[in-house]
Amino acid sequence: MRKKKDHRISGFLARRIYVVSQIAKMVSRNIMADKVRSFMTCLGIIIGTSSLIIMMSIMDIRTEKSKLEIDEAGLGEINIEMIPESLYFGLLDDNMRELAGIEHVAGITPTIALGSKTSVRVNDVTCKDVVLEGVSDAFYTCSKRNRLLAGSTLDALDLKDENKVCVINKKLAIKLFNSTDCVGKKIPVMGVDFLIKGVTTPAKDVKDSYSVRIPYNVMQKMTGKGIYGFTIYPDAHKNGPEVRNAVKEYMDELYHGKEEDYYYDNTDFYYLNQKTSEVRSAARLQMVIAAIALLIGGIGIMNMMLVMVTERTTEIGLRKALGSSGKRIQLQFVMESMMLSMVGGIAGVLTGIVSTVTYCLYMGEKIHINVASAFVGFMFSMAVGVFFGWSPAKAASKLQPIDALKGE
Amino acid sequence: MADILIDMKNIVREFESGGETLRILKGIDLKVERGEFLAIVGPSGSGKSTLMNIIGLLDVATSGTYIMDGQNIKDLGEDQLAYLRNQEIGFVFQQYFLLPRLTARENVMIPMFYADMPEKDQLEKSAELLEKVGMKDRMDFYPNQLSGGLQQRVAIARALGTGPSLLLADEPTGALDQKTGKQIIELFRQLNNDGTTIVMITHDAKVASNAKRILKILDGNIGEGDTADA
Repeated sequence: MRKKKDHRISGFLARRIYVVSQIAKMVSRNIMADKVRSFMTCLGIIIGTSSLIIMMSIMDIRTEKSKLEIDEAGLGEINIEMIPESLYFGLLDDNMRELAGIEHVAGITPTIALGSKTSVRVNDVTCKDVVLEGVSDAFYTCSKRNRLLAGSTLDALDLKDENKVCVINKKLAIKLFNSTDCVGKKIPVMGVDFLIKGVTTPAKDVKDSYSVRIPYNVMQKMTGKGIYGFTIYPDAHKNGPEVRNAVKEYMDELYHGKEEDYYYDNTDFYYLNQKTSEVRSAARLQMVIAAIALLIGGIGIMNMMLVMVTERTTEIGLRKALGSSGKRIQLQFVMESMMLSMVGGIAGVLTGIVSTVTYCLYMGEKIHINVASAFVGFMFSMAVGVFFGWSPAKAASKLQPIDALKGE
Repeated sequence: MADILIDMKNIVREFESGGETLRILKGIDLKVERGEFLAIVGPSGSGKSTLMNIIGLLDVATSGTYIMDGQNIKDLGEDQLAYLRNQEIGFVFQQYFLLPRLTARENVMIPMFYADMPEKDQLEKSAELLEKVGMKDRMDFYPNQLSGGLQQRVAIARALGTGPSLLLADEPTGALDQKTGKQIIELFRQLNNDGTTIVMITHDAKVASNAKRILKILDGNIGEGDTADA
């Protein structure tokens, strides 16, 4: 073979890098040369990825709402009531500690109430039918039943120091002071002045009575009552049954040797199970929708890529005839599909995020994006795009140049 | 000792079509020396384009041997074939086959790109070649903006891009007017004088007469013609 004047760049690696960068240039030129076709190819990826993100994010928001509804209704709480005076002193601090120490327990509050309603008088306003309860800080921190409107709720320090503080509800605040802005004022409870620390209202729109809640140990001291009822908060819905069994075990131990039915379990598990199975099936539905979205998106991408490459079989044949090796042609098409998939993927993610944010703002929801779906959508689009951009090109590059030129 | 560039023995090319096997080339023997200027003439359907495709390594014969510049084509790997197509062979297609989304100049640059020529040199050389074929003013036009004749010229410039030792041209003057046709043939003559081997398909007797040797092809068989008329 006659030696040709070598125009080529010297250096093995330098030449490789040069070739790849030149192909990259050519590829971007190709993409820009037919903007419409490139856009159509990206469109499938954009639609697939963005719809996946939007659907997943919206379903996340719905699921969170359902969970919140459960919590606001107090459905996950475990309520135990003991027959009064069934245990000599009632539940002691040690018992409370041990119960709180059960695995997956977020908190425990005793429920100490007066037998009857009491009345509170401030200045000239008297409010009868006030329900007075002694609770722990967990009542507010572990439960979403009540929403804080002003001030703060009882905390561990109030219990430790046996502070004479109370949390009243909005109904009582309005009745006594005509506003919820009454933090810091004092009200007489059983003859003793208590400082109003905070004002709450039920999270769900339910009718409630006038309510004053004070630290339970303060209540115990003032009334001499023992703890014969408590509520336990599991740390997650799914742990509910496990915690309930552990609590029952503990109570059975406590009542060891005594007759049965000294306590009964008020937990409303039926409704909770209903709600949580709703949440679970919604989650399953979410997965199915995700899979379908990916499948449809994937088929769309596959189609666009196949069409794009088969249309260019002639070009592949020509390039081969001009001296491109099969590998170079494949490299060109892999890079083209990679670039298109990347651009489409990024555009799809941005579209998905912007659309979700718009939805949240419009619906008044807290903004939430399902990040996993953005990642999965992008990677999946890339994988499908590159594969289906590459494999027909690979097949075409293996043809004889004249066969590809004629458009096999 | 003559330097044989193309040495074909008993080349047969069959195609499957509608369940039948068609024999387009029926055992062609062809020897082309380096530096020759050969014209192949024949009616349509005679197999001349099929023969050209095999010579130009664009197609593979069903049977027979093809030794190019001392190498048996069968023994060559993909990369070696690509090298030959790029560096040693320049092919001008009857249908031009220009890439529609690239300008004339960019089309001419493609084989240079595959030869790993630096971009600066690519730009220089492509301008040079397009000027040679009289396309100086329309280098940045797209193929759909060019007439058939101009496209043909671009195709010729592209074929010459890497300075091939063998130029294969399928009806190179088909769409050209008399004057440009003459210019192209003159260009071919120059290249031939400088050492390029040229094999040309044409049905124009006058064009064929510019070649140094004429071969007739009929019904898949080749026969000698004379250097006078086809």
